[in-house]
Amino acid sequence: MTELAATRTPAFEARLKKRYAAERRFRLAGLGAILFSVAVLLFLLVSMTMNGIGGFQRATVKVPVDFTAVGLTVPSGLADRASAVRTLESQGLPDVVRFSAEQALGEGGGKLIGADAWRVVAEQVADNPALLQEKTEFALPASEDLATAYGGEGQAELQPVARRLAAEGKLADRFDPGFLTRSDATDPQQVGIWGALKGSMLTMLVTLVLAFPIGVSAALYLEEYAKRNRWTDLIEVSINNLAAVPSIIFGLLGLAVFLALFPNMRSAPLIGGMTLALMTMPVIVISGRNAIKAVPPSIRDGAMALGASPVQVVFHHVLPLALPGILTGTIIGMARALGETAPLLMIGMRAFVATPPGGFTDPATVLPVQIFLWSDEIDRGFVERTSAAIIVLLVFLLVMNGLAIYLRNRFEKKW
Amino acid sequence: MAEHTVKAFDEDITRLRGLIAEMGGLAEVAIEEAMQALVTGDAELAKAVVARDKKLDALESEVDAMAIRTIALRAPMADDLREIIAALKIGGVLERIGDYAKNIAKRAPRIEGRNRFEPLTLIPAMGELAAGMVHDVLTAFAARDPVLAREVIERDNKVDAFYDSIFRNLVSYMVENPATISSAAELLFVARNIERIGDHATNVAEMVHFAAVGTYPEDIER
Amino acid sequence: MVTDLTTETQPKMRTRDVSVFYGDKQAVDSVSIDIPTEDVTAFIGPSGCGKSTFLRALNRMNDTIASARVEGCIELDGEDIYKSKMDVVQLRARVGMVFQKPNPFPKSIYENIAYGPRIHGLAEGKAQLDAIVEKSLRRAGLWEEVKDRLTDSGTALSGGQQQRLCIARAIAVQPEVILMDEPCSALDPIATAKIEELIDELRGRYAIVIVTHSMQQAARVSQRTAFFHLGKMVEYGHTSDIFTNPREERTKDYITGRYG
Repeated sequence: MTELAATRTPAFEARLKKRYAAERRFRLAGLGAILFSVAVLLFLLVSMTMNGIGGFQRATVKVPVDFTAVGLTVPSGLADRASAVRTLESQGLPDVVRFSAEQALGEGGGKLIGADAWRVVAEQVADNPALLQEKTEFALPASEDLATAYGGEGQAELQPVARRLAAEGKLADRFDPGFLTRSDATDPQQVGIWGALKGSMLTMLVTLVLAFPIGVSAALYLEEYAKRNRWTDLIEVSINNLAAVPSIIFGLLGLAVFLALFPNMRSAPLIGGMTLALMTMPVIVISGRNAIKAVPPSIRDGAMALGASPVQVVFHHVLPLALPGILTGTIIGMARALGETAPLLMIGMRAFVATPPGGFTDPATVLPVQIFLWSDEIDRGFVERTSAAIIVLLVFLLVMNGLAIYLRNRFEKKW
Repeated sequence: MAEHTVKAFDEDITRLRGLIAEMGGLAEVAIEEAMQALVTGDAELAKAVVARDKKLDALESEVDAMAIRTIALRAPMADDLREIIAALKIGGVLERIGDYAKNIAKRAPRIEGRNRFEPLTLIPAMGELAAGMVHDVLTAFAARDPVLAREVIERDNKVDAFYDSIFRNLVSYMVENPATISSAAELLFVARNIERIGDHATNVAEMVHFAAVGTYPEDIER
Repeated sequence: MVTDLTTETQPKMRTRDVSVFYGDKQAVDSVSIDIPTEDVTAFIGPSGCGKSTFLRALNRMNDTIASARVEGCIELDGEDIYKSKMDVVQLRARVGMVFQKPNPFPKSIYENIAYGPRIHGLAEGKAQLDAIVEKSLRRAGLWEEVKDRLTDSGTALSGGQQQRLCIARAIAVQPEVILMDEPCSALDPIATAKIEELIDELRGRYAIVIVTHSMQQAARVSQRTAFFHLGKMVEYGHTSDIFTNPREERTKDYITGRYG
């Protein structure tokens, strides 16, 4: 052989080097992209956390209250804590608390504690009436002005007061678990996220209960039973387009249709859930169809050859194998729905709702809307609370996705 | 007939058939030369025929080996299978025909006073008939012709008739001329060998028919 | 063409002038054949000759293809499987099928076998179901190899074992006929030999029809063979006759390797 084979020439080897170089470049580019994304994500998380940690705290004042001299009683046999609080209020507990604050904090002390600070005392007494025989120190929320002054802003004359109280150890930022149990309020010290959180949970529940069965059934029907003709092609194109429609359009739809049907239920989770379900369903249908298409025909053939009816083939074999893919689509759809603000604003979930919704038809708000509303507030105190609310939203999202991923992994099977 | 998709298979069968044709040719020549040695008394020719029989034996081994190899490697079916099995058996039969020719050649020098033997004129005719059968049956094999094979089978009757008449002739000759008994006896054996050659040629014809058609020829008066 | 080969009184399945069309394209042309109860029948022929299509018509698996159309008459025990009121689900329980590529369900070995009896309600209670599973696995020659790991996934077995699992799965619903579409083409020679031995053992208990690309396999495994060519059935006879002395020129050309 006088001639080398084509793959053994130096020219070939030079080209080979170039190919490896291209390979390396591509890998580096990919790695770079991943690192960039991770960096952005970390930046987001870290800055959110740092901004929001403060939101879980509030300025608290220590006020000792002596009940021994005061003759307050809590009648036994009351139905719940709320009625106990009411009886204590009617007995003049707010005045007792204000008096104790004046005693502990000095002149004008009654104004230094929050307007509803007495409720903290009332709730603790209602839970433990034995306190009425003793003298106890309570950690009461500071008033909004004092809290702002403690933060170094606001009224100039309160700042030395705040510094003095802080030096005496009576004023401090304390972790505020009540943030997670209270609802919206005008006072940033009093504000809580539970109302919005419960509203989000109820709305998501409605969305899931409506979108998942309808979406999965639609996907199953379109893949397994529908004949392939012009009509089904049209339906497929329509669903694909629906998934891309801007979410605010669904808000308009909700406004026009659902509120027209149920005019009394403005800003109810039911209406919000229905609107979001319309938005989420196309995503579930598309990913569902892909997941069902991916089930190998050999499994279907095997089941049918055994004498399984079409329904049995679908529910015993196709659906379990398609479920991981369907759940992935559901996660994506639900995550999107959780963060949607525009359609819910359109149907009216933007009102100030001070109490958490009792059921699906009570007025409510959702986390993204709450964040939006708080971010609009002028009050300085709301800034940290907004960041804290964002953290709550992210945690909720993580929990929801985590649950879905757990379910998906449980159903994951090899074929 | 169409060729096999795997050409090597065709080559194997062609080689096998070539071996059989070669054996057939050798057998034919052996018969003719043995007859000639018988008639002319040529001792050298007789020795040559005896020596050449080894070639026939060697070819038979080659046919065996070739047939077994083809069956193992090609997994023949239908007519290919029948042909190979037939070739295998025909090889054995041709080898035996060669042995009979050798036997005739061995006996030829022992016959004395051939000019006087009247039966000696009949035997070459019988030999020619038998040689003709061998020749035609090999033609039938080469052409895969069942009709010719059947016709050869029918000819065996004539050979048998020849044998009967020569037998009677020789016996009466021996009775009349007791001094010629040993030579006459040799001639008897020669005649019998030729008759056996005819029978073997019939066997070959049956196998040719089987290879071509898939059944043995039936109801032929033999 | 039907040759009168049946030694028994009634063949298990009988087809008369069966044609199968995919849209306008004709895949099977007027095939008439009797499938005996006691013997293994093999369908041989070159690729695309219609033997698999015809096989799938016997248990109405062609129904799953939208453009498929079947004409003619196919009878199981004398009853037309297309035109009479025979339920297709029941038909497929009576006529089982094993496919070319082993397709165990992604479930446990036990569940694979138990699925069929369960959906047809063939077992009352777990004890009966266990018995059916064991019997099917024993009949398929797989019991000894898997009896200690019935909860393992069916897909964790080797190729040959998976195919025997699929055969056991088909047996579990107590079919009368088993159709096999090139069951060994994805398997190595040893696994193939085990399956062929299994087919031999199952003979007589089930009517078996096997489609195969390998003529040697058809010769080893079957007692009746049908040769298909371009959608038509060219010749049908006893296996030994087909392979030693076929009547049709096309059959001879195919089995001696002169085709193509």
